[in-house]
Amino acid sequence: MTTAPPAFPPRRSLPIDRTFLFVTLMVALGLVLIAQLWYLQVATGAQYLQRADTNRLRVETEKPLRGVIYDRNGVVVARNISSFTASIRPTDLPRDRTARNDVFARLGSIIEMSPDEIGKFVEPGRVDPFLLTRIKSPITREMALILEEQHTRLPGVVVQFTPVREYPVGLLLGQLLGYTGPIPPSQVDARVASGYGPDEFIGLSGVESSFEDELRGTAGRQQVEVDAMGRVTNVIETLAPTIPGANVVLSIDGSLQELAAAVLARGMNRAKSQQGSLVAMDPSTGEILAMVSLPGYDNNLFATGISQAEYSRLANDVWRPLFSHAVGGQVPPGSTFKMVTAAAALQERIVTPTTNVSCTGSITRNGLQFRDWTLQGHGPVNARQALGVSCDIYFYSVAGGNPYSGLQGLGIVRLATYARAFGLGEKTGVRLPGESPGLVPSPEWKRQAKGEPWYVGDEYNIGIGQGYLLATPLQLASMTATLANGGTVYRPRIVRELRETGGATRTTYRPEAVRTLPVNAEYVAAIRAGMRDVTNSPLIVPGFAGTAFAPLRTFGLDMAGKTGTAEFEGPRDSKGRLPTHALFVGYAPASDPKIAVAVFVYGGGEGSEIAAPIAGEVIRTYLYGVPLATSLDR
Amino acid sequence: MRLHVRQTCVWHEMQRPPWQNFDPILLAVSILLVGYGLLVIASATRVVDVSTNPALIRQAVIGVIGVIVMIALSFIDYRAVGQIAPILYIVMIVTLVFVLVLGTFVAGAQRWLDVAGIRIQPSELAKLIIVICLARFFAGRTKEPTANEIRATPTTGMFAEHVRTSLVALAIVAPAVVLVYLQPDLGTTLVLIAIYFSIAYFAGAPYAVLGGLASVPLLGFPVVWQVMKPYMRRRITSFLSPDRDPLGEGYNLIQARISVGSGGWWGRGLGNGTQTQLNFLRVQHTDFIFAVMGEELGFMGGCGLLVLYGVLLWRCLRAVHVSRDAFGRYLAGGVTGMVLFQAFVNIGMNIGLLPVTGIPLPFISFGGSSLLTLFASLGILQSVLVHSQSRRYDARPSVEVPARSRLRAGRFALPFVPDTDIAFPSVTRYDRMADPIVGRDETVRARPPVGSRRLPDPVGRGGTIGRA
Repeated sequence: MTTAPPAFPPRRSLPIDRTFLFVTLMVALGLVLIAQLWYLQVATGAQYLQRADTNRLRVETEKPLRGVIYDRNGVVVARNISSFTASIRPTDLPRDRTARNDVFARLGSIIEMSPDEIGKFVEPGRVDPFLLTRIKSPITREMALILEEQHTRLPGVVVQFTPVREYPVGLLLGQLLGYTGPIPPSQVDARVASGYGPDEFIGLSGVESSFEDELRGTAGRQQVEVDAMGRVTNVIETLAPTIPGANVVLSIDGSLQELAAAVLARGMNRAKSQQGSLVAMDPSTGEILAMVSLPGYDNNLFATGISQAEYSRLANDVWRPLFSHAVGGQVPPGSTFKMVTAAAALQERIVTPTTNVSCTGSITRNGLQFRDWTLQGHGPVNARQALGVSCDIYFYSVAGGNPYSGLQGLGIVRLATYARAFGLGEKTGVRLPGESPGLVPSPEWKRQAKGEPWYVGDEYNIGIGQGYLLATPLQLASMTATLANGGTVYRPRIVRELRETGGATRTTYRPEAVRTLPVNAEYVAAIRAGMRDVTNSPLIVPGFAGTAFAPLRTFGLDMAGKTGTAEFEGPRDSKGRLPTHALFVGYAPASDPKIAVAVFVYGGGEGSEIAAPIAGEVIRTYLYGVPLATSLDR
Repeated sequence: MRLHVRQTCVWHEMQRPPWQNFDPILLAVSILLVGYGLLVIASATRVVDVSTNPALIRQAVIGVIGVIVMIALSFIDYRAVGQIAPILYIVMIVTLVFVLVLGTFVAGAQRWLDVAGIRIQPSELAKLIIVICLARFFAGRTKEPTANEIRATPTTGMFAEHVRTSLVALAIVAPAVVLVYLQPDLGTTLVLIAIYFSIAYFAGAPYAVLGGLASVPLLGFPVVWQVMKPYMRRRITSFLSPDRDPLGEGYNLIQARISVGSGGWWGRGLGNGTQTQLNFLRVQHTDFIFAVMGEELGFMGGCGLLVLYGVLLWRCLRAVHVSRDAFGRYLAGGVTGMVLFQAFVNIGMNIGLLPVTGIPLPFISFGGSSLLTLFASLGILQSVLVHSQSRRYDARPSVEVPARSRLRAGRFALPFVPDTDIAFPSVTRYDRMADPIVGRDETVRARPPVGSRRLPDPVGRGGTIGRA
């Protein structure tokens, strides 16, 4: 071996001791770790503490339970039932693709969907990964229970309990109550700005829509601690309490509504009519007791998600079942308007209650003949008699003047003023969506809308509620109620009061008098007398009974009313006459009215023949509870 | 009585029985580390009742078994272990192949073997076997020069020999590295490579060789990138920019950083870390246990762990220093390097300094195979301390035997060079007993003669590797 004698002197510069170098390396690495630890925990620790809190703290909104709706007798007409929704919060899904597909497959086998279908719902970039994405709704209660049971094997899957609406009486109050549904795309931004969740349901029609604010309640907000799976582990602080929506008590009397619907349907059937509406009001408060518009629809269809086919069937129906004709339908009031003409003429001293106008069956004015409904004429009639027999000539004369007697007419301006005083030509302000204002025409309106000047003939037509005049059944009911209570116009109301969940009253809606008629009590009394004759007088002028005497005679009611038979542009019959809507307005008892009713039957023919018995039956049943064997086929 | 005491003392000085060289500090610090780990595992696995937490019980039981293994191994002469190194090597390779064929898949990697209901991770044990094999190989190539030789022999001219030795050693590690890499287990692969570097370092491989080998993957990075498995590439890209995919690959890096950062000076309290307790942090009782510690025990808790590791590594290095032969030195060096590398890489990954590699935190992370391997490593280290003074294996002055034949030779042909002959050429049994190098307290070490002061350099300063 190399045991040569020292050829070189010992090395001066020895290599650095390896142990020492190793220790140096160790210390250096340790210092690097300590420096980074110090930087993370001490220097920037506060920032990370905040990020840890951001991880675990969430503000959860707790949706309030929507208010229940009752009729005036406390019968539930809209309530919440539970429905389960399977949703996924994409952030909480496993990161690993195969694990994620496992979750989809497992979920799919439970809720009966294909995994690919589920995967498409939560494709990255399609949805906000932090928000719940609805996968299937509704799922059965059993599915929901299985999902809850297996939640540890289904990370990211959330079962939501969603209350949905159920309407026990369905069709009967479909239009009135409306329905709830997802916020329409056009409203999303505004609704979200006012505190709605983008996936929340809102009232879209009827009372559900107009009382949305009251029914919805106030969402509570809680700061909660969640784990990495997104499950709430702890409620830290309640930021705002959840206030359930108010329970709404309708002014509608459910049994009256049911009866009215049945009676109206039967009447329409008799007249071969496809459309009709009926409004019953309490004349002393303006509360709507019944409001029927046929055809209607079952709002339960919407509550559980309506199919496209079903929806288009409803939406494309020419008789428009989705639309409430009681508040939105504008119809010519016909002779039911004559009370307004009479009130205006009396108050404006065109005539006195005893002034007679001679009815010869027609008036010829500027070469045009304006006929009475009966060509034989009624002879001389005063205001009361004119209403009783519905004498057109009388009302032509007071509205547009009578060339034979030299009677000066009211003219459109004064007539329109009184019409408006009765609440025609403007929205009544009932809290229901889709109300129409009707139309009280004026010369300016005619010039603008039709490009024609105002003729006396227009005044004649308006005087008997024809021509351009349009009113909604609700306005007619309100007008009738005004006469019934002696001259106060109440705002029609659909809701009596709001109640707390426990039953305590939150708000009671008081009768709201919009105005008092500018008509002296004696004139109102004369008009009321005329209306009473309509139903009660067997002989008003020779040869003529009250127009509704015959059909209502058997009812034995102390009621007052007015028939209306309004012509409208449509196919003429064999005798060349225009088709007519059947109308009737009335109230009872005549001396102390408890109910005022307006009935409209589209194309129903004679008001006395078709509309009057409907009103009579409704009133009789309301006042005396005479049961009927009919019921609306739901 | 008095006399008796005195005599006892004398006897103590005189006898110095081998077990006195057992390092109790090493034992204590490893038990402390396991205890610390149990505390954090308890928190990470939401222990309410200790008796019903399977993870905790398992770890504690394995900890106890580990301590027993450590003490038991300290009774066995490490050179005996060195003798069966080839057998161990073959068993290791066979087992690793077995894992690849029959192993149990967990989270996409095939790293486990289920043996009689117990799941073991052979790649952990492979670390220790590689330490033993490499230490034996390098020791076989080491010639401890005599005092005269070190003065006389120029270290120049040996470079080619050094390179050759280093490459042969690399060839020994390579099969294990490839097999572990294929599982795939990047973490253990790196640990094996670190062990290689560490032993080569302590064996005196020139810095040029070490640096050269280390720079191969850096220079050949494009090639390495191609060879890497997709998950490894993703880990590197996500380390470089974790915010690019904060819910995917970058998730745990970010969450670990948040966990550690939110700990502050003193932490949020054991069991109160929201990141841990609410599961925002994943794999928290194994790879990311340091993040749990950082969150719940804070900067102080983290530094406490570093101090414990400091003490552990100090005692390991002391073993390197105290060992009286090359094999013992290299064994101790390999164990030291392994612990240091694992601790640094794991903590570095937890605090966002290094990319995610599945390396457990020594003695802390949950995992039986890892814990047992570490205790066994310390046991062998203890054995080095206890037995390196023994002359049992000194019988053959095998310096003269060429290395290759030595490797092939039988039981007593192992090239353990009696250092004592170099430092103290005429050592009697009495002298050896008094030899401060193997004594318990180095501060009273007797100075060797001035001329030979640096000679018994145990760290390979003057030693050469390769055939002498």
